Amino acid sequence: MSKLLLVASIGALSMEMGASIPGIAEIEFPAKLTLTSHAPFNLSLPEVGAFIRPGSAVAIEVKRADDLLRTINSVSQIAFLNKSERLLDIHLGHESTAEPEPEPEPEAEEVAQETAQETAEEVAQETAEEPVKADTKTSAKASKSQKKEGK
Amino acid sequence: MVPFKRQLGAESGVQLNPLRDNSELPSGDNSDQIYAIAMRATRGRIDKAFTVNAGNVKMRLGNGESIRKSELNEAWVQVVESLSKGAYTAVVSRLHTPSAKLSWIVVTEQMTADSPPVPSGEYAFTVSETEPEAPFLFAIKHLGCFNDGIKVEFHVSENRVGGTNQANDSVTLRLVESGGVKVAEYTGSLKQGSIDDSGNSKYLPDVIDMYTDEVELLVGATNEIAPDSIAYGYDASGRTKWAESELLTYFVEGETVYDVADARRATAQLKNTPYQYGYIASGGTKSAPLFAALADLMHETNTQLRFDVPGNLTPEEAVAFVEQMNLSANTSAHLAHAFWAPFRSNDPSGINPKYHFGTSALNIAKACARNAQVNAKGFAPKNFPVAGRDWPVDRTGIIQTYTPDDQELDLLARAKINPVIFETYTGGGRYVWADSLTCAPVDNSLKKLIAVVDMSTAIDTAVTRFAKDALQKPMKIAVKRTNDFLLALFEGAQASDWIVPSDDPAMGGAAFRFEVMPNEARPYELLDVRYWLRYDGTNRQTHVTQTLSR
Repeated sequence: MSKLLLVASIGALSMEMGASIPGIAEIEFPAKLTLTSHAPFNLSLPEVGAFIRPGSAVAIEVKRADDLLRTINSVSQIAFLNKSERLLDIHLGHESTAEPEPEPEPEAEEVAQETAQETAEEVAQETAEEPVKADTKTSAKASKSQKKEGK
Repeated sequence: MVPFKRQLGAESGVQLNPLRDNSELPSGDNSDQIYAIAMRATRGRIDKAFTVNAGNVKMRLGNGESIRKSELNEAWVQVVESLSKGAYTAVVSRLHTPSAKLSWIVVTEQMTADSPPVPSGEYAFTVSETEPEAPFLFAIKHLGCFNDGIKVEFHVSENRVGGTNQANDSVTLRLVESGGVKVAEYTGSLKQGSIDDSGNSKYLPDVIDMYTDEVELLVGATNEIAPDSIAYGYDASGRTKWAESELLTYFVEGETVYDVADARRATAQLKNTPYQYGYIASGGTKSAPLFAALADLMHETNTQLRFDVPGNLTPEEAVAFVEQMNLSANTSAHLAHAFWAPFRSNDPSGINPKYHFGTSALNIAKACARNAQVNAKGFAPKNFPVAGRDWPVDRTGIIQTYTPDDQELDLLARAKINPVIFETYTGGGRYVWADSLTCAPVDNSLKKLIAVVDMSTAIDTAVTRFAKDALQKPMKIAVKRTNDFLLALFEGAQASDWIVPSDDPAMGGAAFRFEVMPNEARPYELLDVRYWLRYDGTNRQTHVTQTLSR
């Protein structure tokens, strides 16, 4: 959720604000939104076709501003009836389509040091492997000669 | 010369006193065949609630708009259907926002280019948001608020003097709706103080005032129309000449997103209306603010609220829809009745595609039709709830979109939601209201049954109405009359099988008990009326057991 922009938090006090809730006016429609419920009960919002279990979030697409405003009015009323100060959060976008944050680019010196370390490690590994390979080859020759003798 | 006087002084004579009437009996009304609704409509007053019936619903509420345009249009469909299925009248409060604007229609005489200018005989029809300033011929404010506009037409009668036409002040004003049907017609004079042969004012604004409060008229300085007017007299073919406007858009509905204030305004109109009603319908609304306002109205007026749970929801979602409204905290939760109809059907009004239309208003309509059938005691069969085999949902093209299993039916019943589904009975299956539970948070109580609440509210209405009549009477008279009334009422209820003998020891085996006495603490002005009733229940469940015997 931290990757999505929080547009509005709806609670009992939102009842009188309606369309003047900050953040709502800037949304362009159709809009992809994520609704996160803070209610201790299931929330059914047929105006936008959403059903949210306690503590869960759902991704929806709202075609018209009116549908969202009606939903906000309904959620505000539900919050008022259930004495909830924060019932629903509205985030812009969907969690699955949010671009992952790019990994921060390391400093150049750090890159050079890491490269040098990797190179040294690789060389050491190769050096250690050579006598093993040589032993392997020697034993292979020995077994071949034994097999020949066995014939 | 009559042989009596109405009031004697000290003289000799006969005084005849006014007639005293002790024969009056309490009479009922048909308020239980009327329901109220707050809805969005394309026509209708916005300043107060108004009534519609089957004959004028489309004229007063508009011709309906498609569900595809807005789901708010479902309420119109439910109202039209209910009025043809048993509801006598619907009391409608039209939802609107502060952005709705009602303007004046102003008719002005067009003047010639001469100097000084004189009326050309033609007219301009314009719309003004504010009250018009002179000069104008007349200005009309139509409080019916038609979104689709209205046409204004007027005609001036011929005034023959000495064989020639003279100017005349008598005007016939007509309002015509967009489909060409006449909405209203009034005839009167443009002159203030003008009276007819009976001595009544025939000044046109007064004439309109006598007939309706839906039209306001202002008359300008001109109080006569000349013969060269296009509205004067008859044309060469002998037809009446009318000055006609184009279709004028004088009302702009504005936004249709209704908030708490808009919902409260609508329900306040329903609370303050002089029209009586026995039910409130939600009309398929999904709006929580409107639902909450209707729930408050339900409590304040002790009137049953029948509401729809959207039919496209699953049982779990339907339960959430009801529970999130916290109805169980409402003191009058027993007055709320939820219906979930998980089927699509053809539009009863014919203008929409198949849709999950709610059944709350239809259920009310069938209750209204039932209530019209009173017995000799004046009681309707309200002990029969509108549920089960005898009350099929008579719509066409029904397709059930969700069939709840046993666990889901149990879930719905515990949430006090009545499913409207296909059931099989003797003679075939049909779509019915399968249950009749109220939203009262009780398990083993009469309060959970819709039939009991129907009867209970009817009794409360009858008693309170009589109690109102008994106000401002001497205390002894009020006690006696109330006692007599309650005895007759409850005996009638028992004869009509509304109430049955109780096994509560306090009732002593009777079906009813009542007390009418002055209040102990304030005996001079306060009368206490209490009554206890044992209503008949409803057979919701039957356990059948067969035992094989040897």
